[in-house]
Amino acid sequence: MDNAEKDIWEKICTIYQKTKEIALLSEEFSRTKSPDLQIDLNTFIQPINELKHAHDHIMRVRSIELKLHKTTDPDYTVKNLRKALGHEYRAFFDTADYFSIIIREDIQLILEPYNSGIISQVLPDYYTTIRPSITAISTEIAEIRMQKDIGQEGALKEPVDHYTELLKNLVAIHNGLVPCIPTLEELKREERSKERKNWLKNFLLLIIGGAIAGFFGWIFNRSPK
Amino acid sequence: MEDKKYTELVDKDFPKTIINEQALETTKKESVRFRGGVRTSLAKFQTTEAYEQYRETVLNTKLP
Repeated sequence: MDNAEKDIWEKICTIYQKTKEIALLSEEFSRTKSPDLQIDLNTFIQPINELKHAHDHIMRVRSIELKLHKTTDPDYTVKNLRKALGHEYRAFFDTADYFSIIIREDIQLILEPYNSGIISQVLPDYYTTIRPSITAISTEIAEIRMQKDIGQEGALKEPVDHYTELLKNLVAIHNGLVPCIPTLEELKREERSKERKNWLKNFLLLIIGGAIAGFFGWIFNRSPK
Repeated sequence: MEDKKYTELVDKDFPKTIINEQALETTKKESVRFRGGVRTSLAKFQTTEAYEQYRETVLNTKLP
């Protein structure tokens, strides 16, 4: 195995492991909140499809090494390894993209039932730090996706590492929100109870006001003309 | 496997898989003939188009 082959093999293994890491991480985020979708990465076929093609090119390389297949092309191994790497790279991006979407959706679903007053009471840095971070991460992910280009083989590792890092930050934000759910719920109950009390108070005031108005109306009506 | 057959097969590409509504229908229809994941055989997977729509919806939903 020459240096070029070794280099591509290293990239294939590294990117594959990152894809696997994200796939395993996603098991914690299985979809229970959107019953109409009922999917997770096990049934997200797109990256599995890319891995199937990568496997096919790797099998071609192994067939040459084991002398099960012959070729006159001196670059056959490197060409197929490059193709395998391209598929691994796309599998990573499909997996990472899907994972970033499900975490973002989970964050939305966690916070959706609460108003901004409750959120800032429980999470004082939500509007100053957390939300801007989520937006910044989403923007950075979009930028990486726009710049991804399998033609730049030498520069594959950096976007993969950066993307993985951003996903870990999103997971950390998500995991920081989950323990706050009971407090958010408690404050929501308190607010509802306050609203009910206010409504009752206003209702009683309306009845009393009506009764007083009725009384004075009766007084004026019975006065001799 | 014969060597000749192996050599003929090894460089053949898999057919391009298009994950659309037709793929969902075919998977559901033919699932009785194959063993596999339950959700996959019930066609509980997303088409590429449905995923893109889902992705857009999530990204366009503003955080509270």
